[in-house]
Amino acid sequence: MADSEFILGLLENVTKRLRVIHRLKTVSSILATALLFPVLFKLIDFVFPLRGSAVAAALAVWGIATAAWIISRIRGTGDMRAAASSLDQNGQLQDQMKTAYWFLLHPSRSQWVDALIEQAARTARTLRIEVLYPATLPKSSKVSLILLLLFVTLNFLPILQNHNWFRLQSAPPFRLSRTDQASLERARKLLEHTGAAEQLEQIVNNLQQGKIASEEAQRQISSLRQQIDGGNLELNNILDGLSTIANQLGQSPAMESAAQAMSQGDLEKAAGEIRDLAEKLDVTPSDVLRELERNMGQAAASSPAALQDLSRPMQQASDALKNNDTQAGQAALDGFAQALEQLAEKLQNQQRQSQASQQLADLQNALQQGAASKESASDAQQSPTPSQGGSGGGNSGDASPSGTPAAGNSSGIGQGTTGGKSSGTALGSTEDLKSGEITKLDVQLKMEGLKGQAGSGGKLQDIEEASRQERSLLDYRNVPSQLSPAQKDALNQNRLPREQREIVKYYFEEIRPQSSGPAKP
Amino acid sequence: MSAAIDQQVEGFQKQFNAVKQEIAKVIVGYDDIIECAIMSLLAAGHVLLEGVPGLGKTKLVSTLSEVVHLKFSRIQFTPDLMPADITGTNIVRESEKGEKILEFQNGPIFANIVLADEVNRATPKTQSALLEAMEENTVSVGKTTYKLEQPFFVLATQNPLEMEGTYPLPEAQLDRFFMKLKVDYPTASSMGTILNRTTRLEEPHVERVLDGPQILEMRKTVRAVPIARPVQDYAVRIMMATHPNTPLSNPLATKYARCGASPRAAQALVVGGKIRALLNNRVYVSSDDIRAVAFGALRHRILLNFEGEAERMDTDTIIKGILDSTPEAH
Repeated sequence: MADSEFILGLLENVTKRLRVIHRLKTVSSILATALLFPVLFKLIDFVFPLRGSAVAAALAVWGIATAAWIISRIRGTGDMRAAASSLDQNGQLQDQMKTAYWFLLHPSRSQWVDALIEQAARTARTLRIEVLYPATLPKSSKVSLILLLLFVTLNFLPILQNHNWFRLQSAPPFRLSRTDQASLERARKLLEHTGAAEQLEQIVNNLQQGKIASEEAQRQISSLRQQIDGGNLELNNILDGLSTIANQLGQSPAMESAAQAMSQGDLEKAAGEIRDLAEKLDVTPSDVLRELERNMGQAAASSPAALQDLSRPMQQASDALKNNDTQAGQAALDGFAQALEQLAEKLQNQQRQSQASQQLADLQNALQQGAASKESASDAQQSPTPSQGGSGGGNSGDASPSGTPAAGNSSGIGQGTTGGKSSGTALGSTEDLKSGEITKLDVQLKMEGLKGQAGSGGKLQDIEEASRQERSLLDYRNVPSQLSPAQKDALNQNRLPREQREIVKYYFEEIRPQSSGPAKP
Repeated sequence: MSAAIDQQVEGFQKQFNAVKQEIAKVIVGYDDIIECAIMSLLAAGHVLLEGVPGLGKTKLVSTLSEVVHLKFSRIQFTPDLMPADITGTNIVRESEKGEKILEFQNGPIFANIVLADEVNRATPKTQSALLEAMEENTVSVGKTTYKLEQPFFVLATQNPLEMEGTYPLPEAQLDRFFMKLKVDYPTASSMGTILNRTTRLEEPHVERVLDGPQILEMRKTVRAVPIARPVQDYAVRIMMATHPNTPLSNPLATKYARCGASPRAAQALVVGGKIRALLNNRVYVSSDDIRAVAFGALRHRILLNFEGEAERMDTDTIIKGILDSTPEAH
């Protein structure tokens, strides 16, 4: 092979090698920079979870931009002149290849030039391209690799709210706020061991996965609430009946302490008292027994149908005492005590369900509020202090720590059941029974224009004043309530003491607008 | 074909090194100065040696003249030296027939190697007497032009310290020097050798290893060395960078230079590079060769402006800046 051909062949090989090295370096350095973006993007996703469409769009733009960048940088790089320069530099050839290549392109009739090319070819034959241009990975490729690993690790990080993009996961269409989540958690705990907990879980999961819309979730939660609240009506009757029974039994000296415990809602204590009475029944004076027999009979007769389990043993006890059958009386009283304990347990369960229902109501409100705020995001008249997750959610979370624990007879489910006495059952944990502060409506009344009236003198002036119709700038749902869930529950039940019912009925009949027919007295 | 060239290169190196070794017998510690002086001789250029008194400048020149078998003359430049004292003059002489005729009496410039000692002590008029001889290798007296015998080589010395009563060389004169070499103080180790050689009875003896025709042959060899255009362009870029106001100007030159190097500088870079290539056993000129001769070829061709003078800027600093910033041949 001629010297010149050998030199040109060598330069061609070097050009190819340089092109590969250059492309490798370029790609890895571009990736080292470009991979910062998805990593950054992923970090942002931790703080502000991104929707699937946003992630897909951003990654697509990133991919296209990176590819365009790489292509623009690696296109048309490297020629033989550059290869000769590189060879001179790497092989420390002092411009020999460069000079030889130049004289090959610009031939000259000179012995010296021939000698120069011959010398250059001699040198070229000693060169080893693999040594001069070793196939090593550029340093930037390590950075690229680290960034890639970081990106993968971030995706697979087992933390809450992390969405693995490799598994095509992304932020759910709907996300509960911390307050809503707390409400949900409380409701879940209260509904534990019931089918409702699973249903609730299913509803929330479907909502977060975008399987159902917010409205549908609200509807399902509402339905679940109705299902849970179904027992509340029975609860009211039970509480009323208990009060009646307690009043009847309280007239008997032997049952006074038990009746008091019942009126205070401490049915277990009442059961204990009744058991004590049963044990002492054979030593109890006969007049006391007579009175007890009479009162128990009356209580059994006046107890509602919902308390059949109580009325039956009471009636049995009354009958046994009437027949002077102490043993049967003791057995009947034991049965009565047992029925009270079962009732206490039943009430406790219903208390939990009631609270869970309230939590669900808060959650429902939060969903409703979220949907409303989305629709009217640009509305400047939105509430000045919209609590996170809506009024209900905010209240339930805030009221609990600020409220004062209920003392025995202060308030509770059975509040006002007998003759306006402020007594209750005080069932469940005390933290749920709190007396809240007075509800304040921080309304901002709308300003209405008031036309100036033409008078005797002075300048006609239009003024603005607060709405006389008391139209608020606030949506009623945004007015925060300071009541605890238990208090709201009690208010929503709208129960009236039996003694007052007639008066209330009469009042409303009196104030009813007179239509065609004559008013009732 | 290559073998002939190789032999030629080898012969060149041998002769060059022979001269260098002979001079080194007398001159100690100035290898690079000796090399550059010989390079200038072979490049058909002239050398300006600058250094304080007592460093052996004159000795170097006289030794060189001894080593090469050439006619040597020395001119001690003084303020009252006249141009005719250098070039020679027509004198009136009586012929054999008794007639009075004008006859040209050669001045000391009619030699192969001329030592212009302390050249800056003569007036510019006298200094200018060298201009024609150095560039055109001729001397014009009256209406007659006399051709100088080849090789013709001027070595001038000047003292950078004693400026009183001296006349700085004009730019045109400076540009005619192929290289300006700065002779610095010898090192302590070199001083020991110098003392050994100069304080004893016997003095070192040098042999004549080169003659005029050989020098001319070597000059031809130098000119034959090829240089690729990219390398040549590199020399041009360096030269252009010394100018204060060109697109290729170096910032240092722009700031401190009043005038940059002339095309003679680029010629010096290329020819000097060729000699260095031969000495390094190469038949082509590389960027390294250009860089190696850049200081000697450029330092006297860059003229400082007022700011440069005021800041005592050294032209070597500017050249270093240029070499550092000018991209190599590619």
